[in-house]
Amino acid sequence: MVEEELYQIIHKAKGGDQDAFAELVKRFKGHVYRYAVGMLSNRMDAEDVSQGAFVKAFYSISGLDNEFAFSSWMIRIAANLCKDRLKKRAKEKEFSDEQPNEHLVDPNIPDMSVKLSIEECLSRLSIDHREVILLHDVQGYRYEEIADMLEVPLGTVKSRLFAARMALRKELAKEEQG
Amino acid sequence: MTGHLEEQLSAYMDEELSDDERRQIEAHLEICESCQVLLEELLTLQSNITRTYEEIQGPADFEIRVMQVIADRQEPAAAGKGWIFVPLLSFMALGLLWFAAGAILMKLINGFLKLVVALVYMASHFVSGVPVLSGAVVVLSLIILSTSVYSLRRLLQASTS
Repeated sequence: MVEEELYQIIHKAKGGDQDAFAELVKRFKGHVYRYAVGMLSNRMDAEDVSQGAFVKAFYSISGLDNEFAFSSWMIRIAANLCKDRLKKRAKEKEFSDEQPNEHLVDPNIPDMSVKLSIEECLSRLSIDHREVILLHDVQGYRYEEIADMLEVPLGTVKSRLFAARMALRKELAKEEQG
Repeated sequence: MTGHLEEQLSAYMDEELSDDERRQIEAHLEICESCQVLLEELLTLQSNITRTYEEIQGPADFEIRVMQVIADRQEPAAAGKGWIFVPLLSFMALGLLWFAAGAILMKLINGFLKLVVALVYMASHFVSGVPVLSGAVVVLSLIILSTSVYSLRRLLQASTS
């Protein structure tokens, strides 16, 4: 019944109904924001990227083929924006490394609001490892859905998730020791 | 235990194995203590990750801000489209006016031209009727012409120096 209601809302939003779209934002904001926080390790950047993802979704929702896939479609948009933001950060870091005399804050350091060690350790993993852990353990997607979203074979999801967990375990052990 | 089986352990806890694979892992777990420990660790890690991120809520009034951004983007776009229609509508209005009042307008222009011709005719008659006036006009014209030439020369000299 709840699912049916959700599909009705998605259908209305696809037809250009702004109230229906606002309802979708309300329902999925936590889902998208959590993913962005996990990927970017910075609440402000995560909010900015989440907002950008929903605005982008508003203009492209008419092209959404399958209403049942709204959640993964939304995460895919957020994922692309997060990766763009991470690339931008890397470029900025490169620029700051070239000019050592100028004091620039390293944007890769998680902000002070991120105090939990899990978040800190996750931010030290590679983008691929971070992403697969978030998609499975936080967003709750199955291996098959993740394979579709990342456009990789199912076996890659399986091995990548295992490698990501082992890497996170290692980072947590380092944190506990240090 | 081989690396391949460890990988299976991760998929085992996610319930992503086939029945055969699951039975194989369960049989191994019964005899391998290190794998039991690793499984426990991975399960704890997974539940910690889930709990950490579950606590993160979407920002308050986020949907209002998103809809505001969308509304702000649509306003200038709509205004931009409107500007295209302004000259189009003006031309259409002029066209309609021409179509409705074309005959009257032609008569008005025709009458105005006749009036101008009559006025020119009257002025030439008036000038030829009073010879002093025509002489005065010629003198005045010569004064204006010489003043203009003098000013122009001064202006050219000033610009070259």
